[in-house]
Amino acid sequence: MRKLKPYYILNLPSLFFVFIIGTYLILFAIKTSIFDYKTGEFILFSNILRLAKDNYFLSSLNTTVIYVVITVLTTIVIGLSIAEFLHYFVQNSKLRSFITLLLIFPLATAPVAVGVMGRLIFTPEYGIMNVILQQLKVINEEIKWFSEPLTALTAVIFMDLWEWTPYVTLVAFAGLQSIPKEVYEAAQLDGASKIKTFQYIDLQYLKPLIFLLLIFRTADEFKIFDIIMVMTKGGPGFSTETLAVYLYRVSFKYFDLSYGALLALLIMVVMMVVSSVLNKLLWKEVIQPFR
Amino acid sequence: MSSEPKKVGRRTFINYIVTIIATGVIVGAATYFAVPKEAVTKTIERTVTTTVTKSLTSATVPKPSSLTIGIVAGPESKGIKAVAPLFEKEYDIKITFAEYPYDALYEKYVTTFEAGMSSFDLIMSDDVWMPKWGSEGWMTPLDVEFGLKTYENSDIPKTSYWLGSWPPPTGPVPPGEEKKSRHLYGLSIVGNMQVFVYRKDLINKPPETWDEVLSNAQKVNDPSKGIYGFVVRGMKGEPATMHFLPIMKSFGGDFFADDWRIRLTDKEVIDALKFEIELKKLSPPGSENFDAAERARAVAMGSAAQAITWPAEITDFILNPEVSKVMDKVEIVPVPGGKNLPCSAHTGNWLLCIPKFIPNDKKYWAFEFMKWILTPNVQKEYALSGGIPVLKTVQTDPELVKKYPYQSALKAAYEGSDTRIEQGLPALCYPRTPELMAIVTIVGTYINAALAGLETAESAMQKAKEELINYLKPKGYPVY
Repeated sequence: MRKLKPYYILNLPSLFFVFIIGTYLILFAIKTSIFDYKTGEFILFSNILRLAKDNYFLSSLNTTVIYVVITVLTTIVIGLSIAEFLHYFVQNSKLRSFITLLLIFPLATAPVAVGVMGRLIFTPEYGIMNVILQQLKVINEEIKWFSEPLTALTAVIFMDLWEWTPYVTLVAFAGLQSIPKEVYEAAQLDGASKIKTFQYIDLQYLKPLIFLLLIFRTADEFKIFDIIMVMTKGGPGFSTETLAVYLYRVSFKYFDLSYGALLALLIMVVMMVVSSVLNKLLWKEVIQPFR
Repeated sequence: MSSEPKKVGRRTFINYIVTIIATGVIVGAATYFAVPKEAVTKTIERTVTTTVTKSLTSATVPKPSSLTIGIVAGPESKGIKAVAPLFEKEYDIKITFAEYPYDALYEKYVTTFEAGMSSFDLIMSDDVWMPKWGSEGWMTPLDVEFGLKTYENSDIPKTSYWLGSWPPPTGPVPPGEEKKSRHLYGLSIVGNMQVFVYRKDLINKPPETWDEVLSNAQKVNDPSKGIYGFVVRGMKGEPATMHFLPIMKSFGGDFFADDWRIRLTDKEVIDALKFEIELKKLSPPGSENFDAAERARAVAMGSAAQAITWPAEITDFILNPEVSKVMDKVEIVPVPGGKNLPCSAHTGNWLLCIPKFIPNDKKYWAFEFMKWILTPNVQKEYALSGGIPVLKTVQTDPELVKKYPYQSALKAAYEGSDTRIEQGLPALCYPRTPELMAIVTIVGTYINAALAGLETAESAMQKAKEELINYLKPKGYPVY
């Protein structure tokens, strides 16, 4: 008789629980989206028809895509730049520890608190953002941040960047620290410039991490909810209403749980597609060449 | 035979996992779909006895060791928390509070009651949630179980009884609810009503009409000195709707007619929104995104000369010596009225209700708590501890009026609402329908868009109307 190795057996309980919990919730969502959660009436087709005609869904999807693209790319570019700066220009270990500690603060802040800070920072009358911009002579008149769709979205994105850029910085910095010194020495001997060193050493070593960050950050940003709810509640009008905020409105303001479940499943499917595309890229660009 | 365990390769291990998962899915799905939800609910419901509790006395009903009360995290719960130890001492029953933020509390209640159970023996409920409880039948009818009669205590404002009754005694009744017999499911314990604050150092006399509010605002508005004539609470959703209600009602407008015709595009409502847009122009910048805290701050810091407000904003900000710069410069008065309306203040009452899913002995003692907290002596203690009283005699208590200057404005607000009830009109509150939260979210989104200048008053209300029709029609409402 075959005997399983202990580490396989030890993994089984956790796999079992993760699976049961995950399966139950997904099955529940599937059932709720097919049958009315109160009457049990079959409503899948009417829900799909409603979705096809739902302008608010399309508008929130549009806002979400814009939000995700801007925040993910910007956090990666800025986060990577800060990590490079720390790697090359801050050699003092105490200073590095201090900066690392500072970078952890935004990460340790609850998103709701980030939202509250955002409301205070961007409030026209006494918010610090207008004061700074006026001092820097960037603007003459105060901006009514939450009155216009573009400025409201900018304010929300700014707070998101504040919270998540340090995460990218810390991950990228850890990646840069793991690059062997010999590689840099060899590059120096070959006369490689800073840009070439970044392009052919840093970027190549960081590629797997950048892809992982892309996957994680995209998945995270796609679910963005707390900061927006606190700062704008999706307003003015619908201009900062992302999919998660719309899903909340449908499920917990309208208590239309069946349609909400359908939206939730759709978000899950979209996320799975995006993740699998990024995974494939990760495999093709990063893992496969080394196998 | 070798005693060495045979190696299991990765492929075999994956096969095991897939088999377990597939079995789990099939068994789980079969069980899940095979057991109808109603069967579970009915089993639970059967455990809830239907004995009439009004014949019971404190001698015959076993005393529970504790009662759990669901409360909202916020100033609304200050009073009930303060007097709970007095009840514990008097009745030897421990009071445990399950405290949640506003949205989480509602979600917690709904999801618990949907499952046909309750972890709360009493719930503190925003009055806007009452239609949901009434239509779902989740609460104990106080008239049936305890013989409580509507309007029997003249010290309790009629509005309190009206808010706790379902179906609504006046105004449009949601489809499917018309044939239900009316019962009383709750009574107010937080007598929260809108009041009006103005700067008496800038404005000579309290405004009695909304036209006076606008003309005062135009006179004192001076952004160069950091003073704005008014401050709106325009944040998307419920905040914007709640702020608009008294203005709309004073113009003679409403959301629905008695036959559920949507009145948002009526001249009265459009005029009211245009009027509010005018007030917004005289408000601090960014007020289209202001919630209650920002509004209270604007008044307390001296940058807004007039505002509709809630009692909690007054005690916590405007008359709080640690925060306010205008302590001696403001006066609290009733919200101005309008046509046939002495005062257009709206309710923000919180009621106590008893879920029907709890055992009878707990229901009995929960009701005892409800009666106890509404006695004048306890109400006074409650009010002195920062709670907002409901009883009229307590609202006029000289000691309290001196300590909390909003008390007389509260009394006027209740009188305004009670007058409407006496005229056969709905109380001054949101429309009574379980779809209320969706309605205020939809309307509040478009009011916010109009205040932000993204829509005109006409287009905002037209779009809100269309969305309300799309939302309510499939639910059987005869809206048009």
